[in-house]
Amino acid sequence: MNSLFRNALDPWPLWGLMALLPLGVLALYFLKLKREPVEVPSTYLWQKSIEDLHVNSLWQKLRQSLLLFLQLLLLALAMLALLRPGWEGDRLEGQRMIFAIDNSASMATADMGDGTDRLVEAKKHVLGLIDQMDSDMSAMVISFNDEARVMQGFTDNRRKLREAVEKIQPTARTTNLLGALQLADGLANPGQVVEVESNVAIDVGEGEKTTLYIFSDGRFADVKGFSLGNLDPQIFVPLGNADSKNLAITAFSTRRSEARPEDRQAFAQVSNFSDEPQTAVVELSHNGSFLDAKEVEVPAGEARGVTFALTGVTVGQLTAKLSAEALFATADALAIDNTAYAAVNDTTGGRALLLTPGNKLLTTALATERIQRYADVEVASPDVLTTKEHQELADNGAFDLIIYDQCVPERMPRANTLFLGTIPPSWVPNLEMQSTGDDIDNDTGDAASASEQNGEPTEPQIDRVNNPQIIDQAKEHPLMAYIELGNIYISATNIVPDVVGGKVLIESTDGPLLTIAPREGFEDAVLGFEITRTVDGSQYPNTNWYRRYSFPTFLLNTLSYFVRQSQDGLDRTNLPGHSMELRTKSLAKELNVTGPNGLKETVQRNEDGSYLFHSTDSPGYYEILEGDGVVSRFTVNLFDGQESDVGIVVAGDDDPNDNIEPAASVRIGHVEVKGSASRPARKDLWRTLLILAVAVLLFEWYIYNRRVYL
Amino acid sequence: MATAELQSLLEPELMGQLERLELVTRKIFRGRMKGERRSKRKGQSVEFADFRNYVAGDDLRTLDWNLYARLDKLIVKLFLEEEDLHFFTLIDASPSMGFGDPTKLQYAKQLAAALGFIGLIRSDRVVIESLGQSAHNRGPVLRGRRSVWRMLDTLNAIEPTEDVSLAEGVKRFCLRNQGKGIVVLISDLMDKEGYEAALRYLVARRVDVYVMHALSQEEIDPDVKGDLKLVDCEDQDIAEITVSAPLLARYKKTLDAFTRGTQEFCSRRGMNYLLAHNQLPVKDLMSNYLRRRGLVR
Repeated sequence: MNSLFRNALDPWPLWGLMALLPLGVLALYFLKLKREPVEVPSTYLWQKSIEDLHVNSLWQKLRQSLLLFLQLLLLALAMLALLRPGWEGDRLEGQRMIFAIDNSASMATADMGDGTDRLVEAKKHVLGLIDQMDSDMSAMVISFNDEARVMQGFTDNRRKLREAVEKIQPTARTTNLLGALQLADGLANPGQVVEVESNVAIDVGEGEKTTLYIFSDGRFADVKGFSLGNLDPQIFVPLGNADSKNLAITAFSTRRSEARPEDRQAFAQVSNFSDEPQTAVVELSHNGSFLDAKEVEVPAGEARGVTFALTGVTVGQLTAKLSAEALFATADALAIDNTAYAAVNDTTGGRALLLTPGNKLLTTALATERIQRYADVEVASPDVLTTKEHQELADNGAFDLIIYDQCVPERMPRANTLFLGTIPPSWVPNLEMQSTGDDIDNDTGDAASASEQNGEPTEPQIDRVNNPQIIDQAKEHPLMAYIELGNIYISATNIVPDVVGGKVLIESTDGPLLTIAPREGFEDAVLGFEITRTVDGSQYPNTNWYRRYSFPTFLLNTLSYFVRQSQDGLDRTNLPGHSMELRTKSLAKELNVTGPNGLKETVQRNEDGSYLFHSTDSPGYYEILEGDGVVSRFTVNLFDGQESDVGIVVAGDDDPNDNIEPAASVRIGHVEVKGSASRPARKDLWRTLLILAVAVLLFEWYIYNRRVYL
Repeated sequence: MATAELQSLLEPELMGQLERLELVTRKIFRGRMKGERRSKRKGQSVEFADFRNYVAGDDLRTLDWNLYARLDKLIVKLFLEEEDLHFFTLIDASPSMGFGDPTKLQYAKQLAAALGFIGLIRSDRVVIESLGQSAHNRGPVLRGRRSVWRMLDTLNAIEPTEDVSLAEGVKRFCLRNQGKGIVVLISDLMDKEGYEAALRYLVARRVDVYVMHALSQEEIDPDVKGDLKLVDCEDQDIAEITVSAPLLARYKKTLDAFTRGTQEFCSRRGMNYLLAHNQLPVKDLMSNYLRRRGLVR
């Protein structure tokens, strides 16, 4: 069977039967023409009229028998319709099919010629394929973005499949093909069993070959480490236009001004995904009212930043929009990335905790008015570390900063930390080898293993040295601003071990004394020496630093840096569809979140004290409410260059007449799935043929009744 | 016989119209009886026509004695003859005449009644016969206005059941009636053996022949469609046709050729041909067509 015809009559003997039909019509026409007897006054004239017809009767009959010809034509059309002829194109392959339809943000690009978007086109293709399915074929429908979803499991019910396809809606999410592949693989190979110990999939049954159709614009990275197994053959249908242009805001955030930390700045990045330089105007509005606009020239294929000063903006919603003129000039194909949102949260009223066995020097230095402006500093003894309330607060991110003076928590809190005279457990090299695995929290595992790779495994835990001489300090870091460390005497100190991502702020002759390192959105600063030592219940200074101006300045820097950073961290943006962990300073049972569509959703507090918010599908501005008051804000944005770069990758050799470009192939594991140049959907002709047959029938009827002879 | 049926053959208005008409013949015929018709022949009437010399054998009663006295010559007075006309109507009553609405036979009867009525009121001898009558069984000879009802009765008695060919019917007619006069043959002429032989019999009789070709609407413009088996009502002959526009066109051509052929045949032999379409009212036919053809005046 070639690609032009698909026989709907599968058993071949039926063909013989079909060939007999026209002969049958002919035979019936000549042999058993049922004529209606009509009595007439005389056949005299009639006989004379038909006399010459009898002369060459057979051929004359054929010539005159238009009705017979029409009947034969009708039959031929019906037979041709049964053959199901169609345009050249890949036919539906296999008995089991998986239709994976990309509904990520980039599929909303309206570049399919008549203004429809790619998802609509994809659906059209799939519906066309479903129409072709025979009764013994089964298929399933998967929609995928950054996560895959089974819209309809394997079924031969075409109505269900069609409904499932119709149900697929565009999303604002990014693309991840791997999820879809894993899902398809799992469903295509139900006989597979995964051995838990080795995590190896074993085929226990003979898996059926399943054809995988991927309908996507190919805006995703190659998939590594995946074997297609029974998903064979694979057909990738690229949708989209190679010269689609798009102008997008690919980043938008607020931050402290470098020069004046009390002022905020908004930063927007405009990317130009076209082959010509574009001039974009970014309009910034605050809570809906226009604030500022700036023009930026973006070269082709590049991104440019634009910075706005946010004087007087303390709280609320910031919206950055590309002006309509620029979008029109670019022929912008994707609308979702033309607007970006940022949240500005109140930065006053931070919360800091000092855990100290009793350190008068420290408590005094933290009691200054300047410091109180940044945060309320609570003081507690290290004993609270074991209380449940403290652990919940710490895990919940209630504090912007926790200062551990001569003590260490069991596991790192969800807060910025400053360690005085102690080393966080995760920083201690070889701890894993010396202690049992129970002590190690998952949070610290990465850092520990990282330090294991960097440090030497045979080294003792912590170096302790006496009288180190400070030889260098990182003055450019905000923590060290205005700090002069000359002529400082330190009695004894721990040498802070190296840590991944760590930055040494104070370097001594014996090694680092102050290091700051990031940890999951927080930062830990570790000072090697304590300010006072408690010996036999009495406090002795360990250093004369407290006598310098630089000591309260350092504490002020610490407070302002960490509290602000923590607060800035609240102005977070999230990818659409990703669940969001909400932070609050209290331990409320539930939080309310209002989204951009005005819907209010209640988020319950989990067992571990976290709040997880899942309804982040639409980009926009979200507010977290505790009771009726807004405690925090966050935004959801599609900041994804892959999605915004809407032009599909073209492999060259293109037919300019279609809007299907031969896209570059997609690599899945070791298999290269080529973008099929032609759509696999067939254009079936049988409907047209049947309509023609009906038209012929009507024509025949007309001729029979009106005695028209053409 | 219901009066209404009789009247349908001859409507009162038509009768009024017909009373002003009279039958005309272009030939000189000898009537059997004296009639109201002034003959071209000289004969015995009160109207003087001419003189001529006496020849031996002339009736002495016609001698003009005054002239003999004056000129001493025997001169015979001639008078115009007044005579009656023999008007024969021959109706084809074969089954094929039973078709049409009104049937061709009915139409023929109406025509015969109208012509016969004219003849009766002019005191002509009117004879109405059908083709199927035997050679010896003559139809009644009608004369005078009083015989109108008899004529209509005779007409009504004719049924379209006679199975006789046209030629045979005409031959019998000729055997029955020897007199000269006007013969009106009303028939559809649809005889498979041809109408020519029949008409030749009439030509031989040297009568004034009028052929009224009665055709029904369904013969002139047949309303048939599809594949049909046409059955001849007389000889059960079958014609299988598949109706199509060309076939219909061909039929019309054949019909046209048939009527034209008949007309030509008739005019060559000094007969008058008239196509009597059954949708054409008798009144119009009488007043317009026949008048123009010279049958009536």
